[in-house]
Amino acid sequence: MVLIGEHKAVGGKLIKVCLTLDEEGKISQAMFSGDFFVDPPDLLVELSDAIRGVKPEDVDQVEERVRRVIEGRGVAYGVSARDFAEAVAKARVTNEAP
Amino acid sequence: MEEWRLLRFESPENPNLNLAVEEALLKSLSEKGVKTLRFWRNSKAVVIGRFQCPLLEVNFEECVNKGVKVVRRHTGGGAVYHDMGNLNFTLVFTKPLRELPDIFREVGEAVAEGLRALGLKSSFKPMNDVAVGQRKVAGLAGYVGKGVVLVHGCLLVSTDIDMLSRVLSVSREKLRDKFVTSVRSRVTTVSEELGRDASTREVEEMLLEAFKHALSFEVYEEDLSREELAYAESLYQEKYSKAEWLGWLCKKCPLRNEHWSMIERLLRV
Repeated sequence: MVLIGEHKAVGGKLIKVCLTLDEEGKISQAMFSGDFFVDPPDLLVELSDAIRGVKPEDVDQVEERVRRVIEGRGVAYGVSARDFAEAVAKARVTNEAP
Repeated sequence: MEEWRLLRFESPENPNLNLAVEEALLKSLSEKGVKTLRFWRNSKAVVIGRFQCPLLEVNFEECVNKGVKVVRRHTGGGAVYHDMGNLNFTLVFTKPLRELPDIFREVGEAVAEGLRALGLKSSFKPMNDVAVGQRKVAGLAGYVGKGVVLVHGCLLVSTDIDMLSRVLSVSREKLRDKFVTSVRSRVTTVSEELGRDASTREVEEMLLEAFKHALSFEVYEEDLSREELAYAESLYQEKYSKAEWLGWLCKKCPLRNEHWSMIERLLRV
C-alpha cells in the first residue's frame, strides 16, 4: 500500500513523498519530489534512500537522516531537513493519487 | 560594457528541443564564454521541474485529451503551463561565488522593474516568483555551476489561464496556505493587469531593456551556431525525448508500476 505525504515549507516550496511500509511500520521504499532546488540532482535519490528503516512518525530521526545526507553531499534551497521529515509524517493512504 | 548574444531561437512545437537548447547554451558559455539572453516560447506544454513527479503535478487525462505535452527541464522549481501567450526568457552568464537565491533576486527584481515600466505594480517575491499585487505573473528557475549561471523564467503575457488551471494539478496544501481556492485567484497575466491585449514581442522589448540595465550589458543579435544546434539535437534524441528522463524519479518510487505506462503515454502526446 502506497502512502503519499505533502508538506509546504515556509516560503512556499512543496515537498511530496510516496512511501511504503514494512510489517513493522518502518519505511521500506520512499521517493521525495517537489518544486524545490537541490544540488547535485542525485541528492534527492540519496535522501529518499536514507530514510528507509525509520518509522514515518519518528520526525526527529527522519530529519536527522536527511540532514546528514544534505550536509555531507550538497545543498537544498527552499526546504530544510525538517520539512522533508514533516512531509513523511503527513503521509497517508489516499485515493487521490493518479 | 559586456556584450551578450541576443538569441530568438525557438521550437514551439517541440518543447523538448527548446529545453535541450538551454543546456547547449550552458556548454557554449563554459567552453567559449558566450553569454546569452534568449527569448522563446512553447505551444501548449507543461514544463515540470527537475525534482517533480509528472503524475503528481499534472492532470493526466486533461493533458492527453487536450494534446498538452508534458516535459521535464533540467532545473528545479515548479510545474508551469506554456502556450504562445507565455514568454520565456533565459540568461546564461558568468557570476562567481553566488548562490541560486541571490541570482533569483537579481533577475526577479529586473523582471519586476520591467513590468513597473509598463505601469504594473510588480514586485519580486522570494524565492523565485514575480507578482503583480499578490498574484504571480512570472516564475524563475536556474542552475549555478562553477562560475556559470543559467536562469530561466516564464512570464504570463496572455496565457490561457483556464487551460493552465485544467492541466496543472495544484496541491490543496498550497492553496490552503494562501487562503485562496483556485489557480485563477493565484495567477494573473500582463494583459489582464493592463486591461488590454499585450503581445509577447512588446513585453520582450521591455524585458530586454530591463535586463540590459540591471546586469549592465549590450546585445548583438545572432542565431544558434551549427554546433549548438547539433548538440541540442543530440540531447533531445538521447535525453529529453526519453521516458527515462521524464520519469527519472520513478526508478525507486513505490508508484513506479502505476506511473510508468502513463509516462510513456505522455511522451506520445
